[in-house]
Amino acid sequence: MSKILLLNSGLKHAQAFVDPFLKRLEVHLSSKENCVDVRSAENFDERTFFEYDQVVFLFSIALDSIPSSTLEIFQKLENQSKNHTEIYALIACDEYEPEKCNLSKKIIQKWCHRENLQFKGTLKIGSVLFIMKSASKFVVSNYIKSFASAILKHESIDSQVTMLTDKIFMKMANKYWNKEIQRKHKEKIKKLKHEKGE
Amino acid sequence: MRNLVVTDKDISTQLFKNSVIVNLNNIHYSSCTGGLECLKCAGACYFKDDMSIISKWMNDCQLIIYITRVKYGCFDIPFKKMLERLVVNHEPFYSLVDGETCHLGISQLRKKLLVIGYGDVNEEEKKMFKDLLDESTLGFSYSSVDAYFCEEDELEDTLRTFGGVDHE
Repeated sequence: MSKILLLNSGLKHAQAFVDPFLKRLEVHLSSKENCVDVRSAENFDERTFFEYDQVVFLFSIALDSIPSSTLEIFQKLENQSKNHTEIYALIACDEYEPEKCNLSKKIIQKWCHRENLQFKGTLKIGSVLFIMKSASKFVVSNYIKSFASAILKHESIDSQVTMLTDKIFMKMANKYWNKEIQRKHKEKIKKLKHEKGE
Repeated sequence: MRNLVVTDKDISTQLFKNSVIVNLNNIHYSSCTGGLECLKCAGACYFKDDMSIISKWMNDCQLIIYITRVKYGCFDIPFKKMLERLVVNHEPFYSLVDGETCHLGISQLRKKLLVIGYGDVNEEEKKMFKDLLDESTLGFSYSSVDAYFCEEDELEDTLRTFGGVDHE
């Protein structure tokens, strides 16, 4: 029986971006043989880290590298007793290219090496804000299934997925931002009118 | 303002006389929550703290000097937290630069970036850090991006070497 921790370690409100992946991963990992715990950066107690056989960090990158919330967890764990835990990471970025997650992967690798933990691999996801709103969500689901399968078999994995083409990405992404900006603008005007008592 | 020095370690103010020195140990700033709400509101951050003015200075100055501890080939936590707040200086929309998608910077003023990283940094970590700088400056119009590394106890001497770089 394996005890697995899924740790949503991104910045507080960016955790929502990887939540759909976390939920799918949890479903695939949960079974009679395994015990799966889900924690976020805010409610994770580093003293419990040694209890887990496998830990999966899930986060969306911040300013091209690992978010400070994850670095804080790394720092806290530096002084903790740890077993030879297996470390996996699901790293997401909002740009089209999942290769933007490579630096974060290297940082985790470095940390694992220093802390004598086994780094077992990553699943890198590009276009994180939009991919689950496109047809590519079915492709992502398959990648998550394969990622979960690698975790269950204690195998190494290095895979990446993004939207079908950069043209689809650009069209969908910029449309999304236009819509969001307009929505915020309308909200602001509504609020101002309400304050004036109109 | 022309020059800005941001440091996570106490340094002598005499070293950069023509710059505004921001010591991260002496300012108050909250951690970015990463929800990207600021990109939807024309760069208006929810938090009103010292970063409100510093993020504006970042857009307006011509030379930026970062003095930061380097850990695992990345900025150390206080510096990373400050950088995360600079998301307000990005455009929400995506552009293609050198065939890569990225958010362009709001300010297209040509500027120089000099980073002095200190700490126990090996060659691999130096390479990672330089790659990180290349990635994070994509979409901004930097005329030069340079990184130098030294041990923590050599920092004062290294800064003395660079002191005056803001006179040019």
